[in-house]
Amino acid sequence: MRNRNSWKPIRSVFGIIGISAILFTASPRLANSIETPLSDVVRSIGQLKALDAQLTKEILLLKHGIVRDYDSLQSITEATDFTIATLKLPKPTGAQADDEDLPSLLETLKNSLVQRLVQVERFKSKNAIARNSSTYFTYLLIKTAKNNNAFNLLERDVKRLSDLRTLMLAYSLNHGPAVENAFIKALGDIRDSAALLDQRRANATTLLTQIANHGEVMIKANHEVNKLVAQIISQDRAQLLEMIDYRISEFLESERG
Amino acid sequence: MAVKIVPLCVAVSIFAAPSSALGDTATYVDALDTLMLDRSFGLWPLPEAPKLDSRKVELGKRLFHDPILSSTGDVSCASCHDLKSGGDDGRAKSIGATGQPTRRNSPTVYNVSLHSSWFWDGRAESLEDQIDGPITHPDEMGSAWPDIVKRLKSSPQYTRLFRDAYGGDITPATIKNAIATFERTLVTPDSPFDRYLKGDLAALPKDAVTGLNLFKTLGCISCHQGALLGGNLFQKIGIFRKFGLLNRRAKGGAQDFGRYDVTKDDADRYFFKVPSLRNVALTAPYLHDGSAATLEEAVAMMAYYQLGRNLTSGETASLVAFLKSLTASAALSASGKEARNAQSK
Repeated sequence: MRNRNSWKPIRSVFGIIGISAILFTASPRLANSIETPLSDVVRSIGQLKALDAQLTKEILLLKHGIVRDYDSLQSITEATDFTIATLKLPKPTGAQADDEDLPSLLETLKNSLVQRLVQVERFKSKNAIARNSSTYFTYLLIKTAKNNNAFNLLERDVKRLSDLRTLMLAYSLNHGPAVENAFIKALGDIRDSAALLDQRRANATTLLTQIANHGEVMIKANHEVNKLVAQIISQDRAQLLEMIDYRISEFLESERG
Repeated sequence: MAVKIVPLCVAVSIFAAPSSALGDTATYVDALDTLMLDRSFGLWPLPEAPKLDSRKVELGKRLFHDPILSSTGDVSCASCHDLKSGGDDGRAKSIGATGQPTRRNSPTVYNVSLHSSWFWDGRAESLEDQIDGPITHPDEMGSAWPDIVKRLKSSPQYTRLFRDAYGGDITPATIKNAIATFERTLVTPDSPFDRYLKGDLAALPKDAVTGLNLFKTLGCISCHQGALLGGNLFQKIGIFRKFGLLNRRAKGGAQDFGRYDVTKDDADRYFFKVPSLRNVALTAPYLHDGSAATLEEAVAMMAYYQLGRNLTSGETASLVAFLKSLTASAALSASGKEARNAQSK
């Protein structure tokens, strides 16, 4: 014969389930706070925060050439796209209905995230140009350093190229206006050198022109990349995410209370 | 992660060299050479094709090759994306159901699922969305979905196949899903370059290795990166020189605004999706307008417009040798070019 005590835990479990069922039917507000609709929004906001952090990391790695391919961005942008598409508030109930700002905040967030995906696409294009010009520009500078004689360069131009190499090192560490202006001036000198050479030095003219062209394209692309990166990793978006997260948590708290 | 750290360390050693070393060109050169020795440099082997529901794959394969999808009943997806011809049709512009040439060059369907967006202007954001384009475009298959569904429903064979794969649901969504599922299997790993990236250094001939190093130093790799060597970003055609200056055939292409047609944003004028270079040796002619007839011509045009330089014939030959190493045996044997290549050797 089964011991009567062994039924005790089972009876407790049934008891808890029974009380919960009564509470659910008796209190729609409590039921709403436990049901999933708003939890979906909370989860989506959490996912967007995680994706935001992941995207920021990838963009910075790409900008600095530590990661060199854009495949890694694909899953992040796809997931962001998907989360934006599914992000919507459930029918307002109780305290949520009083929070008139929440729908417009969510709309602002969605627009901002869509805008950022456009910026990410632009970033890829501009960053590719910046990386290309920077790599090829460096390659050309090295090539001239190795083969001054082969290019039949004048002593003046050898000196100008040497100055440019030093400035390139400085520029790669510091894009500040003083260094950049000096760098732009040095590129102008190289362009002048190319214009001054006669036809017998056609190879040197081509080389110096290429160096000036790539240097200028690199600076322009870097400006555009910096601007885009600033927009992509903007704190405004992070603050907006935090604000929405806080509002929803506050609402859930009030519902539970 | 280690792979990612190597370039960082070398880059730091290049740019953060002590001032005493600035004049020491050899240090600078050695560091750059080391950087170039990093085999991957943002390039990755292709993954294996995924294992998908074989009933959907078979149905998709059948639909892909069946002209039943076109209004005239004589053009199929395979007409412009012939798996036996590198996954495209070998024409500068394809010929659709009405006999009119398409607006742009047909890209290869091999590895198509790995792209980040579809069409030269990126107007489709999923493989399924992409299928709508050619099927309904008047100059391509010129069909309408209700007619296609009607035709398929009247076929006992398709009724059976759709029952097996989708429980009998014949809708635009299931048709697109079947074709997309088949296309997801068209991944072509195991090219000589894939084997090289995985450590088989003998997989690439010497001229292809020279070409790979040029590919890195000239900067082709800035856009043609990742597992597909492209396919994951948009780029302006004509960075250093206006597109269309070099050859007359490209003049028509110069009137094509590319991504601008989708976004209507002036910043996107002349931007096109960077094509993947996988199996590129099998997919002539090249560029969005098919204006480069050969691989050599395409390489020269890219160097001229995108990199601002004229290549020597030796540089072009090395780059072409490298690009040929991107041909996977699966795509090559499907094309029948393997036998022809062997004969020519």
